[in-house]
Amino acid sequence: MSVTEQPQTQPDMTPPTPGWHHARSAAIRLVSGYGYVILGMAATVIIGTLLSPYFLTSNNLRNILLTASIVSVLAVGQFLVIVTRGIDLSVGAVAAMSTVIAAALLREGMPWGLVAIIALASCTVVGLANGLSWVYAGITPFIATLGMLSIVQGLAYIIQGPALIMITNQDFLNFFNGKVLGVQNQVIFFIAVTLLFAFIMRFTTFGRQLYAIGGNPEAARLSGLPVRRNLLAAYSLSGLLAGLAGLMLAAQLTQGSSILGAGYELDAIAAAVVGGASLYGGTGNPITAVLGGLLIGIISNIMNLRNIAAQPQLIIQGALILIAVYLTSGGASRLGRYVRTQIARRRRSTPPTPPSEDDSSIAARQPTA
Amino acid sequence: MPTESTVSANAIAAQPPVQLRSIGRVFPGVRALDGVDLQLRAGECHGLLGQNGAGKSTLVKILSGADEPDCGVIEVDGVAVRLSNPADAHAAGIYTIFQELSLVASLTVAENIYLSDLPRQRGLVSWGRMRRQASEALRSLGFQIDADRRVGTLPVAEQQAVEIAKAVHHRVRVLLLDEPTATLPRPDVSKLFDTLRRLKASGVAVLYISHRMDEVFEICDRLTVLRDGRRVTTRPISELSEDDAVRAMVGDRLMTGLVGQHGSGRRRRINTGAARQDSEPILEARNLSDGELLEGVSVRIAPGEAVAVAGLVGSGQSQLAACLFGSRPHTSGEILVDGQPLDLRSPQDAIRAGIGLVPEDRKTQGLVLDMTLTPNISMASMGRVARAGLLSGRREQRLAETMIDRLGVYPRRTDMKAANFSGGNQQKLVFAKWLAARARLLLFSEPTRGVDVAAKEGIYDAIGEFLREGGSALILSSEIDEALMCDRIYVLARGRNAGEFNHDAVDPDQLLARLR
Repeated sequence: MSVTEQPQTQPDMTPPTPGWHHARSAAIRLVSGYGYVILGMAATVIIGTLLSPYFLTSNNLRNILLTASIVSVLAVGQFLVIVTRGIDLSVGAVAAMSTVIAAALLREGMPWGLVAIIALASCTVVGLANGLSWVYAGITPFIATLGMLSIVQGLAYIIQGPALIMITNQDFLNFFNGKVLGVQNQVIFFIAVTLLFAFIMRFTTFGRQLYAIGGNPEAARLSGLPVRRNLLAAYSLSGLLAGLAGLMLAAQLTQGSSILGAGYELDAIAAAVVGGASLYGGTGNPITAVLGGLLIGIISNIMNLRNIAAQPQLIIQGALILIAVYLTSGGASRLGRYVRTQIARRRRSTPPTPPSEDDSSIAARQPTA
Repeated sequence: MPTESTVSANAIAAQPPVQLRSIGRVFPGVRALDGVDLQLRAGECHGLLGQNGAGKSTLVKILSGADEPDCGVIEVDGVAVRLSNPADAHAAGIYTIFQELSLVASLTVAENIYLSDLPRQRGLVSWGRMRRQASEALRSLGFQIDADRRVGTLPVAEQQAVEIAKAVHHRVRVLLLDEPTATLPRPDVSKLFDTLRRLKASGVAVLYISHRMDEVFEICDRLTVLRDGRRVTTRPISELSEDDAVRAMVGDRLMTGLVGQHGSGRRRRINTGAARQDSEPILEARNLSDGELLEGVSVRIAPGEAVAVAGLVGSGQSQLAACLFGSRPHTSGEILVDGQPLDLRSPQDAIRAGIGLVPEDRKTQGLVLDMTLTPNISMASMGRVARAGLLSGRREQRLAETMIDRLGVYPRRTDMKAANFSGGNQQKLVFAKWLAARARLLLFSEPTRGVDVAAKEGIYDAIGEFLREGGSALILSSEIDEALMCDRIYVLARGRNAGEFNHDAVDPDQLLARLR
């Protein structure tokens, strides 16, 4: 009991040693920010290079980016909703609706710019409707957007009519699927969208408020934040980005069809979650959400290069998502702690007695020394 | 040891049901428990005292199987055991009544008591028997509760009784109670104590954890004081005065500052400045009702004044705070700010009028725990650190640092998550949020609930400072001592005004009489 009290110390806090603490918090920031996704990517790239000589060619890398671009745009939108503790299951259907709206209007000879604006606006309205059902009707996002998925799918069928619609408007195709200085426009789109929203989340009051709402909606409301307005904006933006993804998809396939985009919502959710966004809200960022999608894309690319059949690919992909989410949702630190205590226990108990861990109910713990 | 002679020979002969030997537990940066010994004897109520961060909750977690020690031995009946989960603790006869009760609100009283082993006859649940047994069990604890009622509809005191009955049904031998009276009105406290005495008489060992000195001295036989994770003393209650216990809790260094306010002559005042009673009240509520609990409540706060709304827990203080802050709609009555009627529909309206709310539960209502200190402080004043929607990191950082210095937040780290600050410092963060938003009137709902003695002082000082600088405060509290420190005291009883006192003219007995 003879501890000399330091005058600075408040009685309710034991001061941590500063140096150690800083090293630790730096490490935590690395792991909880971009660090582990980048580590995961690096590991995957190394494995890919070892497994296939074709992997690191510029052709293949361009291929990976191009394949990932549509899901990446969706992932950014999904992230905006997930960060508020929500989810948007309608994005795949909304993207499909976007393709048929664009194709149908282009067939009527409408100028492509106007077509794009109309398609994006309609998708934004769908997103807004999702937001309204959650904010004002109190329907949980999962159900609200599930219902919307079905409604939008039906709408897309009706707009499309009996058969899918081919797109022949060269300007439209050039804009959404052309190249500028040798770079695919789709890649430019997804990088621009990612950076724009990364900026918004990091540097604007809107982004900050989305994090706060997801982190603690009650505290956000009691701090006077415009919670409802922000939620409506988040869902609307998710709709808007789904619309953009739809236009990219339509240009890529030169068609509008109501069956496109099915399952994209799950890819987008997986990307955001592998990228470290918690479904409990308040964490993650658009860049890691996109990196999460890229990581999944690279892995499936490697499997394609190794000629692994589609069915086992699905299984491997699912397992990887589960592992990634386990590690990012605190599993890594739990594992680390478990390993540390096992080592410590072994070290402590080797001299006197071997560990008696096998006796489950009454395993005596030897006191130290 | 002369002290042991007070305990019956029977208890000495038997092994103590629980014995902790040099328990240690380290968290990153904190040694939460350091070589703690504790012996719980059958038929004894053992008090556990300590400030926030002394290690009480860690100890409770370890005993209830929610956490495991890094070193040391837990013995049950003299045999070393591992309590790696609550089931292990239950198997050893150790049950814990947490502040957050662990009952299923949507099930009935009887179902909750027999949840894990519903009485059955020929494979079917025998509801009649279960109901009878449940009522009987509760009656033997001194409670008359309808066994068919849903637990969610019961008052907290009766929910506690249900939880105790559940423990008794499972042959509890050691009962831990973590701050059981934090949310109980006084008459219910004595009822709880009757129950505990019955349990003691039947040979149960009780570990009673509380901030409230008078309760510990009323119910406990022995007392252990923890400080900074170490055991300072364990003694029979008869050998210890309340002063000794406080001294042991805070350490001698802090004593001189704290004891002055107790007992000695004049009562202390939070507000050292002068209220401008004659000027227009900064906030006035007339005949406010919320359609549920509040009925025709009127309060008035002058600029620079510290006003209390005192009442037992559940008298409507938190509802009143919410109505005045616009986060709860009022059905009738009017609210005036600076003499002008204000249409108060949302917290945003209140904040615009210069009102801030320091809520009862800072963790769920005041802070975003996963965010660091800086964004928590600027949360209600983003307009001040942003231009055209763009946040200025530099301006935000400067604001946070100013607030840290002003309120003495510890540790001085703007990059630490709000979750990792202690209770008292978290309260300061919420306070800082409103100072940053330049609030003129702060509504404090139970400002010192769950914080330790020293942090309490820090909060009173901060309120005093805020008043000196021209702010006004409305303190809604169920701690009567706290209310008595204000310039004016309204008494709230069952959602209605029940009296108004001036600081200097208050008769504590009269005030207490109005509470019910």
